[in-house]
Amino acid sequence: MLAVIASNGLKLGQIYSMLEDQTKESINQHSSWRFSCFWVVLLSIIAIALTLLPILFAKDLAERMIFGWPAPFLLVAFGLPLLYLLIVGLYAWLMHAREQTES
Amino acid sequence: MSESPLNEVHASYQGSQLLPFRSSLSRIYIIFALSFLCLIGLLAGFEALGMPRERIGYLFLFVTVVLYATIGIVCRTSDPVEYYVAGRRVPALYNGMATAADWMSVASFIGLAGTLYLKGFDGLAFVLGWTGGYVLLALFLAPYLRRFGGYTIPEFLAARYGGEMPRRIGVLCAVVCSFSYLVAQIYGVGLITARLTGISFELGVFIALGSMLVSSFLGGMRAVTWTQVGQYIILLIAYLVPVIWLAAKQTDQPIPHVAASSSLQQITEKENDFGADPAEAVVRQFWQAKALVMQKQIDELPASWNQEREALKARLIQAHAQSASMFEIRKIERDLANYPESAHAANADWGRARDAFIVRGAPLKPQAQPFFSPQNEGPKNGLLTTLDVDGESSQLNFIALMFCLMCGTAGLPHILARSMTTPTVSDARKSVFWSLLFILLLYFLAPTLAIFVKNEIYQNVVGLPFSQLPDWVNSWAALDRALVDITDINTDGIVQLGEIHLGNDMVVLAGPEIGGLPFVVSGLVAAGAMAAALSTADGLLLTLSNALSFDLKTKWRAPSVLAHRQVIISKVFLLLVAMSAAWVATRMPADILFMVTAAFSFAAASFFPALVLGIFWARNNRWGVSAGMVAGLVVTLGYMGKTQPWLRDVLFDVPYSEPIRLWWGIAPSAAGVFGLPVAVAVMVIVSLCSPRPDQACQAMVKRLRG
Repeated sequence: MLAVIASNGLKLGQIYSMLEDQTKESINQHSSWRFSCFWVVLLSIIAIALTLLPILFAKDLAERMIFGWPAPFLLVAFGLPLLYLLIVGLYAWLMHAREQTES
Repeated sequence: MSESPLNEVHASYQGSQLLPFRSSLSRIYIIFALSFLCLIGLLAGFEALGMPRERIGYLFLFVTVVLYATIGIVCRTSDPVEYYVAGRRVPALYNGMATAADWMSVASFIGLAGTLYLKGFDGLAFVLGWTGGYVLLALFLAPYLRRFGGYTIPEFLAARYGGEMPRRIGVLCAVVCSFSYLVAQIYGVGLITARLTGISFELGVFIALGSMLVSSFLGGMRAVTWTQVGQYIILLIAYLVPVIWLAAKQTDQPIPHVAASSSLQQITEKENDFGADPAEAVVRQFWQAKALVMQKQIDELPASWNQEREALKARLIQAHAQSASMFEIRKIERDLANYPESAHAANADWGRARDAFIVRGAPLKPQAQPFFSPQNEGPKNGLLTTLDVDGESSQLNFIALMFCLMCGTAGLPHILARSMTTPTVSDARKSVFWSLLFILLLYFLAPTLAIFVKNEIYQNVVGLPFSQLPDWVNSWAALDRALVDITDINTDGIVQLGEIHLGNDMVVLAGPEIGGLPFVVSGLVAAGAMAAALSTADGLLLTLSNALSFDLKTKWRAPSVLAHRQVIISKVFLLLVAMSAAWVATRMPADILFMVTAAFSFAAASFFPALVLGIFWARNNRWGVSAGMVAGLVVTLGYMGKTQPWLRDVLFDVPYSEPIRLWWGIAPSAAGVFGLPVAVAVMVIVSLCSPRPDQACQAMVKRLRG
């Protein structure tokens, strides 16, 4: 950056705005990464918790029926994969929306 | 990296051109799907007019192989960006479809429904593992790999960690994870082609090889991507048609999930009846007694090996002397010809036979009951198969296997490579969503197919007189008795459930015949299975040859090689890898299915932690990642070597039937559950004990994070 300033002989105002842009960019990048990490952690916790629940309580739920299916079988065979699809879709949508706002 | 801005420019330039590209793609693939449906209708018509089955099989094989080869020829290229990453302009939807086809291997298409048939609820660990992996892929890996903008995973490791060591270990891991997987796919294609048309297995393998090479050799990732989209359409139709047909036939309800719930209730009622049936108990006792005899023979080895052989010879002489039937003489001659070569081989053969008898003598496993264990439920006969676990362990094992498959799915190089072909980072995330959706379309049907086939067997085969066995029993038993074997054990002339042995592959491949559907549906299923195997084999072949050629040859040994020569070198490696995999497949290696499951554990213990920590923990350095990946692989292989009977025999020369001590009841296929934590721990400890990553690596982490 100093080399750029020296070679172009920029005025003080221009230097200030360049520094400001760079700081903004760095803050933006930092907050974008934090935004992504927040959702990654939150969605991972949801996925892990909701995956383990029907597996750990499968024997207790075995007698219950949902839509004519034994509850653990329905939840594990169809419910959880559907939840995974929702999580992946939600994350893709959230990040896309964020990137659109930033740009 | 200088490549990133270029990629973005490339992407934004393509963004303006993607709309017409996308609409012409939709038109092409809609025409493709409609033409394929017309072909099915036409062949169904020919069958009604009396066309022989073999000819229908040949037509299915010929038309699909020509279709794939045509796409390959149309998409031929020698441009590096096109060859390695399909020009990075595959729209998210189509990339999702291609990833789904890439993902859906023989194990998914044929194996999953079979596993659910045999294991019931416990088989759902595969469904959860194989779908949950895409959550990990979307959250932790895909967008970052796309932002990196390279061509291969070892290249990513080299760029992130610096130096050649992580790259070389990455190439080693890619070979370990992908080669056995590739052999299994080629083996699967050979088998399906042989069954579909009646040609020999070896010829089937080389036809498969030819159709694979036309697309991957000529057009690299570009041709493979567009072939895979077509293959996905074929394999989805091939799964949907029999399932909907069976649903409508069994319950007059064409929606499979509504129909399957009532079929499941019928199955549960039948399971209760079988439990109370004294004839079933007699059959189970027969198998338990056979297992005990086998165990006695194993205990008396090596003397029993000689005694049994002499006894067989004596029986043959006696049969000749008494002018026994030719059938009986042939049977004894066959047994003598297949007799184990040594006492060591006898241990393995008899150990396998004993395990099979124990399984057949075990109480019936209810389809929907979670974590059922014969040890807890049934009468104990004092014998266990080498890998039996109790109820609590089977729950733990379910979680361990699911965890391994999840991390393994997210760490398999051929799936990761598909994240690099989308136009933008955002498209990489969307592409994972579409992949999972297209995979679920098929995975949601697998449990229903297993239920329909089981219901057909329970309602229409059990209780039949042996003289009225359906045709499919004899035709499949003639191919291989491991696929189907129905023997009248208690000589009452009626089929009991315990007298039926149905192989894993039969549920999908013979499902239409078992359900009484026309042969054209069986041909369609075989064509779908072949599409699944070929698409995965293509993806694996490219990943392996790119890792070897791009990473080993051009970057390591000859950095100054020109771009177009890189592609030529990659194509040479592609041929070499394909030929060697086909050669191994024709040797018919033992326990290939285990080697495929093992690939997930290896990927979970090596690539997965290396990539995730590479993005999310900037302090991880080249020493940490190299030591961690090696430690992960060694621990995984070590546990498998100690607990998998076949591998234990190969690595440590321990006889097959020796009892196995599992750690907390975790099966060897889930060995990655030990390898992954060790890999992470080693990465953290070694990284903290060695210098921080240099400036270039830190800048790379910053760039990856966006």
